[in-house]
Amino acid sequence: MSLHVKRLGEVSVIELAGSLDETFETAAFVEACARYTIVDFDGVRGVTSYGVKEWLTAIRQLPASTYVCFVRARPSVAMQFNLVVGFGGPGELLSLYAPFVCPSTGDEQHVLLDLRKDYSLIVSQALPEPECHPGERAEFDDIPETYFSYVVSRPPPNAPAVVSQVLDGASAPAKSPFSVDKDVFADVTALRLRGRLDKRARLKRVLEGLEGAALFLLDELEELETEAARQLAPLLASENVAVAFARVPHGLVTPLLEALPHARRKVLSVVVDVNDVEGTPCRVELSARDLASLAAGTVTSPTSGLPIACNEQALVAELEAVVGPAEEAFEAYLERRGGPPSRAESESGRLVAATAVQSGTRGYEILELVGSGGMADIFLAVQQGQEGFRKKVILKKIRSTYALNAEYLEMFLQEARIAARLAHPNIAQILDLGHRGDDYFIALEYVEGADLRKLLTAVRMLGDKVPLDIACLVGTSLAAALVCAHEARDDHGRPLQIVHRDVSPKNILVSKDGIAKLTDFGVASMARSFVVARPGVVKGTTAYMAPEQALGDEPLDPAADVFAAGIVLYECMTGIHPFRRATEEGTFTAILQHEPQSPRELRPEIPESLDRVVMLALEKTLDRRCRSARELGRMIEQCVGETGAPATATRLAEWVSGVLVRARAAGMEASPASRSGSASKSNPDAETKVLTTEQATGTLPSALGGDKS
Amino acid sequence: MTYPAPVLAPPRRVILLDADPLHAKRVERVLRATQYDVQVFSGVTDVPPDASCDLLVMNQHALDEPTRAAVFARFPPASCRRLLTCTGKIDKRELAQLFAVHGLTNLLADGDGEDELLLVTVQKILRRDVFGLEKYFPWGAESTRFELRSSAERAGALNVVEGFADRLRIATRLRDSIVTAAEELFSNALYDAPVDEDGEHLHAGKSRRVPVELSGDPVVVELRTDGRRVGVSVRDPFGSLTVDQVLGYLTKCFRGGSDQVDTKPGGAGLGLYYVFESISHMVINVKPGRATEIVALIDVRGTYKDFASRGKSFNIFVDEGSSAP
Repeated sequence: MSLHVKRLGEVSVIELAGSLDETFETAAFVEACARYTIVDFDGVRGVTSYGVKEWLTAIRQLPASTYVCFVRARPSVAMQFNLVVGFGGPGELLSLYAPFVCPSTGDEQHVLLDLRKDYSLIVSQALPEPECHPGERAEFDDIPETYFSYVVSRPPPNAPAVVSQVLDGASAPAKSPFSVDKDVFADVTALRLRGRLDKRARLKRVLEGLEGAALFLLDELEELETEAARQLAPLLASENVAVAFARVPHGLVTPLLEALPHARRKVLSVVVDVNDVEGTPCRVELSARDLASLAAGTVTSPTSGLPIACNEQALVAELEAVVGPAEEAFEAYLERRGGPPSRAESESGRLVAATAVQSGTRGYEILELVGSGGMADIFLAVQQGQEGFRKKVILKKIRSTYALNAEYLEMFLQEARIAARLAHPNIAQILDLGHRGDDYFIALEYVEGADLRKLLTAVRMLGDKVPLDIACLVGTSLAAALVCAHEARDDHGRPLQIVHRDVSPKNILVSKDGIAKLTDFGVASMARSFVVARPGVVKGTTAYMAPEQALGDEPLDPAADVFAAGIVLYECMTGIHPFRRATEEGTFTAILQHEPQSPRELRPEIPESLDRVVMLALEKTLDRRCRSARELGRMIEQCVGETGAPATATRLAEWVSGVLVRARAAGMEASPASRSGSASKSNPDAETKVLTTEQATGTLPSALGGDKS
Repeated sequence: MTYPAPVLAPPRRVILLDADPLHAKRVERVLRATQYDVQVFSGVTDVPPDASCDLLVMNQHALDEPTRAAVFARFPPASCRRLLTCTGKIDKRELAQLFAVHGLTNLLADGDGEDELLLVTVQKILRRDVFGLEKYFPWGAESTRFELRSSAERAGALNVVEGFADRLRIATRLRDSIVTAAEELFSNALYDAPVDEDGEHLHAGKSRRVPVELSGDPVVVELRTDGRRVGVSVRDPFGSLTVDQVLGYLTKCFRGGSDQVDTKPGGAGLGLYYVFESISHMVINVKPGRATEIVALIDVRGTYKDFASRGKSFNIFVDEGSSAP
């Protein structure tokens, strides 16, 4: 049985759902009651004798000063008032469902009777009979004297005005329509659910194609219908996605958990209404860590700054049973990213963009904020020049807080230095590096099209596959870009040994002209640089890391990029990631220990030669892996003949355009046709991971420890 | 040609006391089908002072309360078994009196088309062959059986029951009633019934939140239907339920006093009452110290109102014989 509490001023509305049985929480119910309490039985489907015993225990504990009333009692509950003495305690039954049945068809329907208005009709046995078919009335499906025996034995209800106002909806704030905002950071896709989530919400459309780690932020969810919550379970059943819920409003915890299978009941934090030590109410988010330190008085009210009162033992006990620790990916997301902008933040984001447009930034007119990462904000802008010169660019601006940190600033600048040395049609070009005060920015080539991740997602959602010639063209383009990076030299001809370290579909842009471009050198390393990657520091996107990269080996060999390119090619050909598992730990383990399934087993038309190339790129040890991007590109080219005529840029352009059009036609919410290139909604910087192996080993004992032993 | 002598039922005497001639004729016809010795009287004053019987069948609605009281006094439980038939509903106050004052253990709602139930009930009373759900169903009514060994299995068992009822496409409230009855019977069998060798209850005082497990024989659940009735039989291997307990629980619930719900640790003491209220016919078969079988029969013809309009039947059969059930 779930218990969902809503506070509306002095009135507490307690929604009960499920079966009133031994799972009914007496203490939680009593605690949820306020001076005026409305118990909504609408969701109660069954009652057991033991549940009644617990219920009576609860109802008898209510202070005499509490006004309690009961609404929307279904027949199974309505009968309890008749069967069990004192079931209603001191409360008033204000509404109940009356069962009716069509005499012709036997179809059943329930009519809600509001005893504040319908009492006299019941007493005089003049119940309105609803129409079941044109010209035919349904009949009351019980014996009125029995069904209404409790009602008629009591005086007409006399609900206080404040309760009637709530029941009549006068003071209930209108619910916002349901909406979802997505945000991607490393392997975590965060979804902030807003408004009223009812059964009309098209969750399937929102959740389809999720993979990796999905974090649901519910702090702006105003209502969660049980039926809608139940829709979540099958949609989250895929083993390819790890799921967690954070900032769950206290009242939504039970309906959420009841609707989910046990394996998916991962709540990282709950938002609760509590008091500070001076008794001032406040709303706080409590994680497992907060619960542990609540007694120490170190959790403070965000409004008063005073410690939260720790006398809410029942609440703490309840939350301790619900809230668990966050896996590292989720914790990193919540700490560094926070989530998609809240409603308030969205408003402020628009203001920021508008201000930037007005002030201008050294020859760049900012059009809009298109992405926001942990370290930088991404703007679509127009480069302005003489004689009316205007060119769309992407401006990547490091946040001032990070600009003050020398290491972060150096990382940011290094991206610019590296990219500036790489002039290649398959690499998104850097156009400018500048700053205004402490505001450093990079101007990047604007690639109109879509990133490969969005294309692959769209293809999967459309039930389609990437043509093999297209996959090969993407593969050879990627290899060419990597050759440019790996073989780049400084002005003196010395190898720079640039390793991208973050090759993944999200960093491969496919332009509407049919050119695949590698972008985002934000965590790339080169031998001759001011920023030298330290052993034990892992940078990159988890699911695309080579084994040696995941283990923090430095300096990293360019073959790590070959491994990632192999994964990208594998995904293009099969639609499946060879190593992704439900958890980050599982993905790490798979990368380190598991042999991928042969692509041909998943898609038999893949030529054996191409299958061998991919498997060679995915070899776990360097001495067995295809060592260079040049070799990888050459081997893919050799396979091209076996997949039909080689794809051209025109064909790639047509394919991209076709996928985007069909995706839009299918109404995919996260349309792949959104701004592309570095102007992708997701910040390329933010999608990478930088953590130490000390951090990593904290969550990956089996993967790392096992390998070392 | 010689024919084997017919196998006759043991010589049992049945007295039918019924002031309604039409009803009496119908009941007499069924009683005579048993081949017992049946005597029919329209009033208690017609019964000879020295008359005795193995079973007294009495029509509730054909006799006023003082007359009924006189009959029960004339035929106390020690002298014969008593079966009360009723052609309408009996209110709870009256039920409480019948159970508490007169110790009645056999009550049969005797509507049209209930002849076979009367026959089965009379035979169970007099033959003492009491266990088995199949007695209430015609040949051809298939059954579903499963076992319960722990409280953790209750939810799954209820799903089976709900699925069984769902397939019949009966009124939703009738389906819910079947589930309610089954849930109470499962809890009764797992928490209230288990006793140790000394007859001490093992789990009755425990909260129903505390999981329990049976160490010996399991609880056996059987579901059966002929499309007219649905039967749920729950048999435990303890036989700890007594007539006094059953009548006591039901009486206090019917009376609706302040003691209706138990406040002592354990269950609410409402379980049998909930079963009774949820179904058409409740049958409790007990072999003391060996087994208890509670059979819940619900008439699923028509609407919920049809069900609620019919009278309820109730039997407790105690098998004092030595053979295993």
